[in-house]
Amino acid sequence: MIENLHLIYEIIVWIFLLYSAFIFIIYCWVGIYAFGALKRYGSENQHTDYNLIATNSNTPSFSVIAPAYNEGMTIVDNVRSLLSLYYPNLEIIIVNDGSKDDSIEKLIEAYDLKGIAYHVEEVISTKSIRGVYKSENRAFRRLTVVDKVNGGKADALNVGINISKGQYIVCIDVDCILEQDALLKLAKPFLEQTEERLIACGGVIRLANNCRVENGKVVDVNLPKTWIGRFQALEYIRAFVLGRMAWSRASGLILISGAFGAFDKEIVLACGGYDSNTVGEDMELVVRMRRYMEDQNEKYKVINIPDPLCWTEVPESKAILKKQRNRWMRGTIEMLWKHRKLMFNPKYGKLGMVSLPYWFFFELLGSVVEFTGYCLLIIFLLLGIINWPFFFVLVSLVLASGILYSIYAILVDLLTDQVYTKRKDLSTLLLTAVLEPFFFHSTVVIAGVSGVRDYFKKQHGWGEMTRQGFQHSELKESFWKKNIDIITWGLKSYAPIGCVFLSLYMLSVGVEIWWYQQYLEIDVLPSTIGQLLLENTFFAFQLLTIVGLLYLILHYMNSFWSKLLACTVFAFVVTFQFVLFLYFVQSNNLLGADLFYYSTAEVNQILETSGVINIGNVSLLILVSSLCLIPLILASRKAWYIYPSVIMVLLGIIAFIVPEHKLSPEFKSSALLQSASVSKWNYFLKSNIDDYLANSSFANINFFNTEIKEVKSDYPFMRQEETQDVLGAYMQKSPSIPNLVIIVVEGLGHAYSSPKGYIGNFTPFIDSLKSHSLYWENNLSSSGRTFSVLPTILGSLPFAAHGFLEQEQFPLHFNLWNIFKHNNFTTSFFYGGDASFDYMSKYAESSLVDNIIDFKSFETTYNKLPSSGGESWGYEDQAVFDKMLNGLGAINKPYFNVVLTLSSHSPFLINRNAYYEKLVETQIERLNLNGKQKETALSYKKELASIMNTDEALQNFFAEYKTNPDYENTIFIITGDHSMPEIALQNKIDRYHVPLLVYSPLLTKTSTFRHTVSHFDVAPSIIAYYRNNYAIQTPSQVTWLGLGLHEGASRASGGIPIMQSKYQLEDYILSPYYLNRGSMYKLDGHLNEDVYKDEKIDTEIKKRFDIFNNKNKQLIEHKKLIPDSIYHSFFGSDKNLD
Amino acid sequence: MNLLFGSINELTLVFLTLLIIVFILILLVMGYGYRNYQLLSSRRKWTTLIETKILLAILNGSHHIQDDVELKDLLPNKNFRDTFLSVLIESEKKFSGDAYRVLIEIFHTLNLKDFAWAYLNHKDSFKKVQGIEALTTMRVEDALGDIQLLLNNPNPFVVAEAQYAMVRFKDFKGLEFLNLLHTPISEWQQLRLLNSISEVPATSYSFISSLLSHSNISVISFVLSLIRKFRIVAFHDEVATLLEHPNSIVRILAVRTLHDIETERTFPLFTQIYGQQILNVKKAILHAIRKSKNKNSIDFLKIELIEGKPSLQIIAAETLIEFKEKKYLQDLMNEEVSNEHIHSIIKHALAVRI
Repeated sequence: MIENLHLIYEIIVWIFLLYSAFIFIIYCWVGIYAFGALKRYGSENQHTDYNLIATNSNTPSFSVIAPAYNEGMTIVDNVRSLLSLYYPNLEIIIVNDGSKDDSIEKLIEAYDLKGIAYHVEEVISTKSIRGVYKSENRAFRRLTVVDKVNGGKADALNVGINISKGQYIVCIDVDCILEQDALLKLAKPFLEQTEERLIACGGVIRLANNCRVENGKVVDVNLPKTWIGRFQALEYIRAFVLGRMAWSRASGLILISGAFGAFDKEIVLACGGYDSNTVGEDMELVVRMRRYMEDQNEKYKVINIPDPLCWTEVPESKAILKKQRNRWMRGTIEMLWKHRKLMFNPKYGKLGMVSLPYWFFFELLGSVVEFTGYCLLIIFLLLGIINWPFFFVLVSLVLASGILYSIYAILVDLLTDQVYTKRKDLSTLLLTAVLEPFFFHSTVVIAGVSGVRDYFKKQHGWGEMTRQGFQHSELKESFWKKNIDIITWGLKSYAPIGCVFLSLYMLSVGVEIWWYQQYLEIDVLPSTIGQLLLENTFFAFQLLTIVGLLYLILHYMNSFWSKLLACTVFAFVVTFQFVLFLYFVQSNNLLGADLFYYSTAEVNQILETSGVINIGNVSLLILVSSLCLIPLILASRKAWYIYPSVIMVLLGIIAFIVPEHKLSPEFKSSALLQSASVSKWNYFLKSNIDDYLANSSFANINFFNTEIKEVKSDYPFMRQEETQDVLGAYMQKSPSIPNLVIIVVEGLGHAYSSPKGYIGNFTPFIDSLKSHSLYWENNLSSSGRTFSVLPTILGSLPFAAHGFLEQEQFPLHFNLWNIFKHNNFTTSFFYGGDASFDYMSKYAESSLVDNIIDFKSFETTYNKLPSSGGESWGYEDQAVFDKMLNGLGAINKPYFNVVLTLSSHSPFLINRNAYYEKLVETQIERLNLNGKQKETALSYKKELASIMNTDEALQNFFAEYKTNPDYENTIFIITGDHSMPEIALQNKIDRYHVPLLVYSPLLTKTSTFRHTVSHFDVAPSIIAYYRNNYAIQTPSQVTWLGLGLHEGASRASGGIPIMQSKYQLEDYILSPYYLNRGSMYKLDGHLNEDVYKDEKIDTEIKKRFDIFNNKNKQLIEHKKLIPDSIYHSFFGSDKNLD
Repeated sequence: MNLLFGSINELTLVFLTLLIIVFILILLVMGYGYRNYQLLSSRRKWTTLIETKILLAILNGSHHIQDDVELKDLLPNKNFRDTFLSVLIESEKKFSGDAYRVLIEIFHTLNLKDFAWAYLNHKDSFKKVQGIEALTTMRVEDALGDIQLLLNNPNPFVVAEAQYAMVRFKDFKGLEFLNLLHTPISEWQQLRLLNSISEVPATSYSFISSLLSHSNISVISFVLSLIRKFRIVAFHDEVATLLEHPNSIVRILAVRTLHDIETERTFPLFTQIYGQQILNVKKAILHAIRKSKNKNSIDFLKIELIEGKPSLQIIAAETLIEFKEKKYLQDLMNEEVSNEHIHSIIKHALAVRI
């Protein structure tokens, strides 16, 4: 699972990197190409005599069309500036688009206008015209004012086009100020056209904000006063000086600004004029005109000239700016959708193959990709998978590139147009370039994304674009009132959602309680139910508070997203609640962070072999999700009073404040019931948070400045090998080195493999061996799962972060495999399933085991375990033992084999199941169990049948082995990896209580040991035995955690850590004391535990546990157990192990 | 952690290198920009200085300019010389006669001629154009031969400037290149060339005739402009033949030209060919009638008012107003009671107030 997350992370990172690389390349191209275009234009027009045009009555005629809506404040000034334009053949058409203010009245008064009869040839259909006005004053004979019914900017322009007489039309915003020679400069490209028809031409638009305007002329140029205006000034420089010029030169320009652009009227009419149904009518027209020319197969061009011809006012309020950018984005999408057939269509040349794809991928998707990047950043942050150095370097590069581009644009503009020539303005612009990424860019991105959203929500229209006029009056509204209203509305809308969630969640808890009563093998006590309800109630209110806060924050930006968040999160929580408690019933384990420590293949295998993945279950899951989501969605459409929300949040805050230990008093009940009473969601979240913190850099920060335990050495686990030989006294010396076979039985717990076990003895053969073996009755495994059994038994190794085998690379160390191999043993590992599970084969390979026999090595003559859901775990234990037996005799040197059984693993599907279940029943009768014990045993019939199967397989194995000459010279070690979690625990330590037998024909005497030992002690004692008795070479310095089977978990050993699962390292044993999740217990001679309170002992044990944890952390950080030199010097000339 | 293509440490190093490069580029761009800003400021100052010097030279004579200390100090600077040339070229537009000759004297005195020659021979096309402009404006006849060779330059901007230079030097005779010209001349270039021609000698009429039947439409267009500018009535009949030219733009220009060189045959000819023409040509004819104020066309206009397309009806109505036929229009409006379309057009023409 972790691997898959990493893969997804890598793919996402690469997609963003490639996208950024493309943008970087495009901007480099724009910068360089635009510079060439500007240089060329400057050279070509350095000495142009525009008087040739101004004094020639045969120059092409232009019609300047300016639609106006509610422009009463500035319209008179604006028209005056238009009337002062230098151009011989010019008419000015002002189209009043049904203004609600006094625009038309002001014009009539100022310019002495009179309504006249005017025949309009409606080439393009428009809304109706109320009247046409001309001036009686000859000075204004160029001016025509049209009053029409409101129809939008596009419609107004179309009216102007219908009325116009000029050969070319210039469409402008009426509040724009044109340079007096603007039309002269604009006319020149039209006069210069030869083979390629010039159909549209734009000029540079500059910001009039804060400029001094007199009589319709800009007399003093200044940067805008506000930062938002300055940022836009910089944007316009980049867009017009670089962007438009580059695309113009490349014949790829598809946007002539609606604020100022000249068009060939004949082509505009042929295309049908402006489209009234789009908010991006300017870009849409240019694309349509280009499309028309491509369809007609006529040569044409669309260009932009870099002369600053037009001055306009930009929004200096964030709200209006956002509306503007929102509209621009919607216009872009509308245009791209309307002309989608041109995309990547070679018939349309550069338009289809370059311009439109560029606009789609980078202008449209740019905001979306960037916004997605921000969201993913937050997710990666929460998952703790950000590589900070990489992140900071990348962000710095992106910011620096943006700043470079802006600075370049400013300087290119300076060298060509010289608009902002004041030193102070230049300095401010440069500062603006540095600040823009931090204070402006995100606003534009979010506005763009909201434009995308609004497009799909079918929100049309321009929104209110309040004009300030050149007098700069501003609208103010109360900041506090606005925010209070938003919060109040947010709380009102959250209330029904929160209440529905609370109801659904508590209902799911009710179902959980009922399920336990039906399907748990033990009686559910009222106290358990009470505790479960209490914990879940606390959890629910805590969640309501957190989600509520997020809801309010999102609501501030957009209520749709906030409701979506709440409904999705709550529905997921309720649905997953079912998954959590069903998992608990199935496995008797709480699901925590260990979910993420299994690979997808492992999870798939577990799910498939357990048989939970089937159509019925999946359909049920979908049904439950729907049943949760529907009421939540319905609730999201309502709004109540704010009080329920406030109460929920307050209760949630109280729930956070109440200490956890107050919530969970000690239960005098079984571990299973204690686990059942825990809120499954709370446990899942907490374990993941704890795991995340443990793995993040925070784990190393000592917040409270407590004393840090000194780790004195770079190799804290390393020590001299001085293990006492405890086995030698019990064995006779063999003429040749004995073989060693370690058999690890899956799920072999003491509870059901010993007469003293609380279930009973269901392994008669193993039990019979004990009296012929050295038997440690109180042996403990090192974990509650199989993942750590091999490194513990074979290497006595610490856990690292999540089990020794989870490490990407194993640090060099000594284990039984490599030591015996160095001493000329043949080493093998036998397993009936996939040995790559839990990285077992990887460990064996790193130890250069000679033979790894797993499911791939078995012939078809062997029997697999029955499959569930189409998948079998692997080959039955009988097959595994048989495989091992078949390999005997082929080896002429001593061998060391490790066998791990499989049949007694969940879902406990074995061949001849009925036979073994009968055997269980027979054994139950034989054991003479009381009523309750019998009932308990019968409830675990499936599990016990599987263990009896393995027991019988072992019996046959030994019977067969006896016929082999190796038998007499072989030492057998039999143990379990952990107790079955599916069988209820009486004590917490029962999870780890497994038998340990050392059996051999070489034994001279047998014994049963009652002191507490662990799997950590096996390797040291074995090595000591072989060294002392057969002079094998062993390392002088080792990293064993255990001191040997004579010491076990005694005080002298320092204690032993136990890792319950891959993310839970919470158990520590210093016999007779047992520390479990911060609580202390005392163990008796049978490993029954009782709560124990002694501050001194508590402190000592915790201190020892801390020491171990610090050593373990050092291993995690440095990834070293021993110096390389010690490892290499031991293996010396043994090239295979060096 | 390993990424799909390379480890994260390698990528970090790559991006760190790029970051350093970007920082260096920022510094370079700022440095370059600052240097050019300084240059621009200098150019502004130099322009003011040069204009002052030129004015003084025009007022007081150019003999002192050679010894001017300020200019002497600055002339070795290539950018200063470039600015000086630009100012001289711009100044040529403002000055004529003796003042213009002073400019030429300055040009030669300060050895800016060599600088202009260097530009002419430069590989860069824009420098070549600057060279042509300078040498042409300063009337360096020696350069004519070199400039003539540039008429075949692959860069159209160079060719246009060379064409313009030919006309500047040789007046109408400079148009010889039109004979073999197969690339179109833009309207802008036509304007420039036309503006530079001071007269059309009668001996060149056969040349003009030959150009009127050129395959290059833009050449015909230019020649018609020439005829219009100089009102060469002798070409009336030849231009009239162009009314049947397949290209509608030529026909429109022919109408305009015929209007400018109008004879008694012109308007009968217009009315004769009117019916077969496309809308734009008809408009041109009606506009020509309107401008000519030829009242012989009144009946024709009245017919067009009733029968023509709406855009032509409007022009016809407006022309009738100009020809003082207001009463006729008002009577027509009263007669054609039910014809709203005619009412609208007549009201439009009458500019009836509402």
